[in-house]
Amino acid sequence: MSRRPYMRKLKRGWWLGQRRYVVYMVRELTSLFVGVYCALLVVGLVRLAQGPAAWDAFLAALASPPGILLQLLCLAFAAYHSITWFAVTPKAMPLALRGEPVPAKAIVGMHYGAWALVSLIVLIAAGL
Amino acid sequence: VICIEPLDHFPIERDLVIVMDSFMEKLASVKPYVIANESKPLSEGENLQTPLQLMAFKQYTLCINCLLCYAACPQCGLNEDFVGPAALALAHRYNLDSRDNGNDQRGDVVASNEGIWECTFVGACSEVCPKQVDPAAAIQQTKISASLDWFKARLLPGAHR
Repeated sequence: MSRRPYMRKLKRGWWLGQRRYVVYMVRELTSLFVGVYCALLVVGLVRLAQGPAAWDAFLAALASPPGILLQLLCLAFAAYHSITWFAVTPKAMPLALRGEPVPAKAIVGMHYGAWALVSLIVLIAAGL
Repeated sequence: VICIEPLDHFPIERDLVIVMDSFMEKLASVKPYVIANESKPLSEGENLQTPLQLMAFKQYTLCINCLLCYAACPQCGLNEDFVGPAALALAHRYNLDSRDNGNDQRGDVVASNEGIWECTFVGACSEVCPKQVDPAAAIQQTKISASLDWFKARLLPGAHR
């Protein structure tokens, strides 16, 4: 007698069925906006290379209402992406100090500390 | 509502019975056993392990192969070749074992596209695990150590691959 195991097909909307899959897909979506902002930086570099007029036009586009809206959206998604990543860092990179595991809160705290430090350096470099 | 159905992402033999052959093959492919250092002669005696060295991997020994993590993992449903959470967590368990020397031998399967890099850290495997093995953590840690191995094999002087 031959065996004929039946394989169920994955439904197109499989991720809508459970809350954890929805949350996961939302986080995947945030990568899109992180990518958009990276593209924006590359466009800025290209415009800078084209000369002062092109650079000023780029800055004016950033300062326009649609430009500000896009940057706010990217900021919100990037912040969500970072915060959810920081929350799982104790799992991905557990640390041990002299044989004792470093508490999860300390690992997460170090990430926020590094974030604040880098932000401060960027703000000082930007002349604020 | 209680829904009773066969485990997701596995072929169904009949009623609630699934075919787990693919899992058994994946489990065997990561060599889930201690691969000892052969250069050490038997006369030197047993391989002692401190409580600290045991603690490093103990959690990953608790897996009972229930396959709930495979049923919860969307990546297992999307790609049937994905080695999967339980097998990768066990590979991590032996790589962390101080008596084991098999990291390189497991690398071809573990650090491949169908291995750890198919995982997108959904984290569902760890949520459903009845033994708190936390396969998701094991896989993310393996991603870091495999990346370090990759760079070491290419950047360190005298390294070759």
